[in-house]
Amino acid sequence: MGTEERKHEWIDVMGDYSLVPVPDKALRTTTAIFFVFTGVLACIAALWGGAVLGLQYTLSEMVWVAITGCLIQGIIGFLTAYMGASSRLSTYANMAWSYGRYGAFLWGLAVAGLTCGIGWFAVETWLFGVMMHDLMPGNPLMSVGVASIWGGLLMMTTAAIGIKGIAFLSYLTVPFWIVLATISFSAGIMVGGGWEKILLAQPVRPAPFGVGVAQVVGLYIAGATITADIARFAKSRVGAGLAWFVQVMVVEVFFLIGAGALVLAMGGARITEALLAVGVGLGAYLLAILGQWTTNDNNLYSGALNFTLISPISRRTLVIILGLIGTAMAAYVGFVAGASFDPFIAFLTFLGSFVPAVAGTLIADFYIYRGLYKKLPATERYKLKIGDVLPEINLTGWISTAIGGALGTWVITIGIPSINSLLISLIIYSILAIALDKAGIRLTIGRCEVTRYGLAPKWAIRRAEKGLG
Amino acid sequence: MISLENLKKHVSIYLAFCAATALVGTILGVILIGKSPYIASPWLLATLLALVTSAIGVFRVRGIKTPYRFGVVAIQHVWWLTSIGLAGVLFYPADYFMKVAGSESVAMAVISAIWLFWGLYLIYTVHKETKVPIAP
Repeated sequence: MGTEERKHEWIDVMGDYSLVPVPDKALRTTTAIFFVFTGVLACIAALWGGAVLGLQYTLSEMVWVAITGCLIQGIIGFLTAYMGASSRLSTYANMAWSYGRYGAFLWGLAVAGLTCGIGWFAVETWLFGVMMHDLMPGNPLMSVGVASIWGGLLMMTTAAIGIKGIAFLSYLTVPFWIVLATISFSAGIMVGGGWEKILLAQPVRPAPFGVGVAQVVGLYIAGATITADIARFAKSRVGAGLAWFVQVMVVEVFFLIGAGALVLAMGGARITEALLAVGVGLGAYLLAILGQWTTNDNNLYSGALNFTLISPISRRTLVIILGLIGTAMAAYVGFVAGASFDPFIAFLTFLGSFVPAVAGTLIADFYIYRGLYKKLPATERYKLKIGDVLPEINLTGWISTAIGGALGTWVITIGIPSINSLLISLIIYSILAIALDKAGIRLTIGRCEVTRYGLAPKWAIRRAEKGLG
Repeated sequence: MISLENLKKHVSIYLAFCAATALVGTILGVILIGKSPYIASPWLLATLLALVTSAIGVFRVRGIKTPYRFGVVAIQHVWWLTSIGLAGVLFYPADYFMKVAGSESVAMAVISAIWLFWGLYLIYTVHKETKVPIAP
């Protein structure tokens, strides 16, 4: 290798290409990306989301709510996945252009560090504890708190390994999970009185169409925003987007309707109960364990990626620290709140309204400002180059996200809150960025030079250079 | 060291076996619709998933020339079938299926076990011979 080529080699100090572009040798096929995405979706939370719909809608209404919500998620996720596959950078590294490097950390902290890395991880770990408790109520190891502890520790393992561990678990789990979930739906419907009963069933708590769509979007909007964390490993840009879109439109719609139908038949989201009732005991346990595991390792993985932007410690150590915090929170809720549904629904509602503003800003910057306005090719828009200078803080992204999130969440009461947030931030960012560029004004603070360590912070670089020396 | 051609043959035989047995399972599933649609629907989903995956796999594997590409495609298809096999081993012997279709369920449980264990062996072998990651 020549000296010139060596000069452009990236050094991955944080591990798993957290802050540098993914090299050719680490790229994966569209099928592999589809599997990982579906592995994230194959979770009990998706079924519980469907169960919430079952309480609010008839079967035909539920079908339209699920399709509409998933279509919105599918489009948002397609756009962010295409972005990630084009730049080959994680969501937080992509955010460095529209928010600045520190801005990317802070907003990423809201989207993924706190919501996914700790929040969702804790909620899913708690749900895991609830499910284990339902399966074996008398066993002390299966109390909500204790099961949350061992479940959380289990879920940390593949996240600590990185994309290889996550992909392995997804390959093992996805078809297995789809088949077992289908059995659960069929068995539950049969036990609960059959299709005749479901077609005539009326919801317990009827709700307007928009409420259900917002719930569906909210269920997975954080995931749709951070698809780049996985899509950056994709060989094909369109393939990455389609992998997301197809799994959402086919697999998620199926899960939501199946779980909703189960509620209409049985009066509750008794997914594992239905399996136990028909004698698939071990399957019920594996469904619960693997379902939560494949989702939660991704939550933790994404959360830790965000923290690498400012942290001097490796991605793996961050996974362990965040995992322990999330597990402790889940165990606390488990010991104190027991098996209550309320924290989960409150969490969903909050996410559904505010997180999309970040997606709106990212989409506006990549597709409208750099694409339509600057006319840059997709692979050049977020291309990390050694020697390039990025702002530490880009206020344009901060302003659009803050306004979009606040208006969409707390001010505008019509429509779907998550879509309102996304569209407002998208419009504000596009107008601001283009107007400021035309006027020659920069709303940025500080400068950060891209080194061969990518976007790694200075203290991490110093530590790495000591090690190399 | 196994030659690429032999490895391809081995994977193709596995995929063809899976396709043939999944086809038998699908026919059984269609017959079961008359007995109980609630049992036939997951049964058919599992067998159709296996049938489509293995049939496409047979054609995809045949045309590949480079060892690495072969390894990627082979492992992806075999994983899918292995995972369906794992599900089958767990659900076919359950009372839910045994009460309505006893002998058919036993046959499908045995077939699923073959999909599972043969598949795991193949994943290991293809990974060892082609250096493709276990989850490419």
